[in-house]
Amino acid sequence: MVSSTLQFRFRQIFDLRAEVVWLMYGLAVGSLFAYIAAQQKMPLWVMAAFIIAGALPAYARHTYIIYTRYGWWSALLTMLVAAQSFHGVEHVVQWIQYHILRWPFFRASGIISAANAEWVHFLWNWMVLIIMIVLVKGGLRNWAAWLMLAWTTAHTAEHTYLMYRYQQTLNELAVLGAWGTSAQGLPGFFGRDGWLATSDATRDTFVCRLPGITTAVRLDVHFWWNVGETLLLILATSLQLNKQKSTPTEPLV
Amino acid sequence: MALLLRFFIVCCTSLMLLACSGVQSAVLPPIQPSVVVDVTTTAYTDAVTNTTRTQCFDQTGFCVSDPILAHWENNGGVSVFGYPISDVFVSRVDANWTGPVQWFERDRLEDHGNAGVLSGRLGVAALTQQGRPWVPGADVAADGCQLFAETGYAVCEPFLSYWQQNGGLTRFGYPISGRYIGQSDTWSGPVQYFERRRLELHADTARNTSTVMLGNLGSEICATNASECTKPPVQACANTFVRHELAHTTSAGPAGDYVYTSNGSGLAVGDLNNDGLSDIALGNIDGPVSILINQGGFSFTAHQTTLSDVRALAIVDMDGDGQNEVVATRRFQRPVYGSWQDNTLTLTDMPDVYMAFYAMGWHDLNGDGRLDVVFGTYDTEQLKEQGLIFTQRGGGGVFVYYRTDTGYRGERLNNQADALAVAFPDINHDGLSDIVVGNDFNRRDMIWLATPRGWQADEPFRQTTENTMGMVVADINNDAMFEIFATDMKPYDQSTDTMAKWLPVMSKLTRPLTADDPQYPENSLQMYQNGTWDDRAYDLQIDSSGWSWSGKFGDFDNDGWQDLYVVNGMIAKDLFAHIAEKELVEANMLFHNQRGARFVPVDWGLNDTSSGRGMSIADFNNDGRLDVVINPLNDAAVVYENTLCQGKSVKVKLVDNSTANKAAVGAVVRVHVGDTIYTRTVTAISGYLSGDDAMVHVGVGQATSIDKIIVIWPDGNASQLEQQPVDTTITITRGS
Repeated sequence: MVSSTLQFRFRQIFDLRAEVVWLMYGLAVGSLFAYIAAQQKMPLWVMAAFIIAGALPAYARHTYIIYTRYGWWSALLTMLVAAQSFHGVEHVVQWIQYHILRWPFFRASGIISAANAEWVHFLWNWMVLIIMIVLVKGGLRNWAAWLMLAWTTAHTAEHTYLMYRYQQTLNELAVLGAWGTSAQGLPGFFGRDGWLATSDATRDTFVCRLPGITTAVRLDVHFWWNVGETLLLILATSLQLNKQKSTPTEPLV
Repeated sequence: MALLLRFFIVCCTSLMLLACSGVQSAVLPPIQPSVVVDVTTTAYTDAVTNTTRTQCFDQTGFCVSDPILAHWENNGGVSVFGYPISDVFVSRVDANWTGPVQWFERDRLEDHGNAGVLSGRLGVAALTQQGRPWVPGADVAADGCQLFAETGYAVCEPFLSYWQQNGGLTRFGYPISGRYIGQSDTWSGPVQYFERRRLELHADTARNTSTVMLGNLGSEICATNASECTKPPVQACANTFVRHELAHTTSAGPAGDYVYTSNGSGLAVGDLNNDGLSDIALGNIDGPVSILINQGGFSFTAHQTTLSDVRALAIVDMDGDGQNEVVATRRFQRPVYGSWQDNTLTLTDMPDVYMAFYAMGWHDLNGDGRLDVVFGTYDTEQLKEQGLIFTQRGGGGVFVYYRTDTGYRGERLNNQADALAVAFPDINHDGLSDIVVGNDFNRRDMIWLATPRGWQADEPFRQTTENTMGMVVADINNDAMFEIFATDMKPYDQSTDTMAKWLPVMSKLTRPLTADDPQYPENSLQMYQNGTWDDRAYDLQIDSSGWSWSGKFGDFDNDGWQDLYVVNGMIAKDLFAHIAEKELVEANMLFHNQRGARFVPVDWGLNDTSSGRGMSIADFNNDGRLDVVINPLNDAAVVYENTLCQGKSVKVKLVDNSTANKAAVGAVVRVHVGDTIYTRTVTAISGYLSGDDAMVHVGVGQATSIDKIIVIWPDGNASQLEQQPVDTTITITRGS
């Protein structure tokens, strides 16, 4: 594993005390742009994107400090855990919109995903997968890490399948001249009406109606994909960092 | 750890079994049979197996079976009838009778069921075939002769003695010609024609005597017109359905296929001429309704009527006179009914019913022994066509019309509906039939429970269809309880090209779905379990079948489990502007029942791609196998002949002479074979606008006999029969 002499601790990933000023200024600027966007009647996801963008400089600085003190591996891990946690928030928001607020399925698209649920989740998951591969290659090796890698690979494969179907459907719609018709939200591999539930290969077996795996709506399927991903990542990271408990931790402040 | 793992595996396996099984053991309240019934059983005409007595004749190569064999033996055998020259087959003998016949050298024997075996009127047929049909004679009475005033001909000796000693009127009929010298290639001599026979006087010059003999009318007629005496080719067991096109096409009219006209029209199945064969009424929008009289052997005679612009059709005995009527709802006119007489449908407006309705259902709802009717309007179409006038005139809704001595008495249940289907399941299992109305266009289905205080609205379903297109009540898992299946619109095929065709329309028609939305745009199968109704269509894999219209259950392969057939497709210029021909072409879906646990699509030749609307299931050739008739839009109607030949079956026909509900619509039939209970109900109309045959069909697999049949009549009384044969039609008659 590439590592510095100082011990990097899990809690430092979210320790932004050194970047409070950056964070405050960034959020203020982001909020200002969000306000302007609201005045311009732009979609909600644009406003959310501005606010998130305002927080990015602070977190970039935070990551840079971790990089300079603990090395690239820790910085990368910081990026991944933070990003995955934020993505988890996105799914929690979706879940609340659908199950608590009773929004229609197509409106319950979280914070940023409303821009384009297919592209947002496709890119996000490929990013997570690539970083995870690099981390494993760099030394993040324990049972939870391997499981996380497998989980993320499967999740990304499903999003790749979804992206393929999305593009295919858009092409078909274009051929039909049905421009402007949304093709987002189609079922993927798992879940209700997904490939596993409707394929001829599984139709006459119990597999095609496994509770949850072939019955849950897409929103729930991906909520649980991310719950698993986040938990495994935290577990894998904690297991790895606890190996070097004896090394003193230097505060970032 | 190992113990925990084992516990986990056991739990998972149990959950999977629970999830995959739709079957519950039947716990039925005891039945006290109190109604005595008459029972007649008739073997299927074209049954694959034949358990009756049979004798084959090398002289001609044909076989004769009971009951014709018994008649042949008991009434003179070869000397009277000659040898058989055909198989038994269903033939339309005249306008009043169609049934099993077999040709012999000198006769055509007809199996009239309870009336016994009768001789055909071959004398009349022969004269007609010779181009000189019989006309009344002008004979006068003479000594040694008997004049028959009925026909105007006299019969003299020695024919008279032969006539009197060998059966007289019953065997020969009246004389229809005088005595004259007949000639053939090998013989000439005195002959005289009777309705059923020709008597010939053969002289024996060596002995100077003469003998009266019977003419070979059967051979002569068959030699001239072989097709009349030949059994229509029966489809061999081919594990498929064979398509027969019918002389009818439902058209949307010159205005084209837009929403509402593109909803097409229904059809109905039932015996209109009491010949024992199921006839067909095919609805139409811009064109006449057709009546197709079943001639047997999948031959239908088409008659066009003056009726058009029709939605639902049913063939029911609405007045209890023993004769079925054709009842139709119309788009913008009040419902009508028609009696079928002399190949003409004589139409009459439904008495005391003055509104235009779309869906209808027939049932005895007040227990008075008479068939009542529930009508529902299709407000969205009426509003589009009539505007506010529709609401200013009182709008629509759901109405119950109770049969009275003079007509009907109406009761309005509500004032809004988009009704496409009506069914009468017992929702709260109190022994009374309730009313379920399936609505289109996101309107919730409506349920009214029968209570002592009248009809009480209820919402027992947690999840339903969003746009109910058709509805049917059936026991699909042999638990002796009825399920309620409703069709909706959901692409069966999730491929990208299919989804691209559907998505622009779904974005217009489908209401955004929320997590607690009780309406899903997919088929529903309401199953009653643990005191509540649950939609199990997705679990059993019949939630998506395309843009679905009529969907009905029937045991097509006679394996003891009812399969599901759904007709699909949509043509609408205003909805499918993005598709060539403006038509969503979809194959109809046949789902094979996997012992009640799930349904799997099968290709038995029923994947017709015409735009199906009305559809019904019935046995049209009396072979014990369920056939299918479809009335699509803009394509020829078709009947599909079932040649699967996989199991045995029994058909039950109920006749309730103690009430005006002669066909016992609403009765429940339970067929017990071993531990299995097959449950059916007699319905007049189901699916999408499609009238049902009153005969119920039960596939029993490889069972060789029926242990018990229980009939629960519409008034709640029950009858019970023990030990009945399979591959038979069992007619159970209540009252004289």
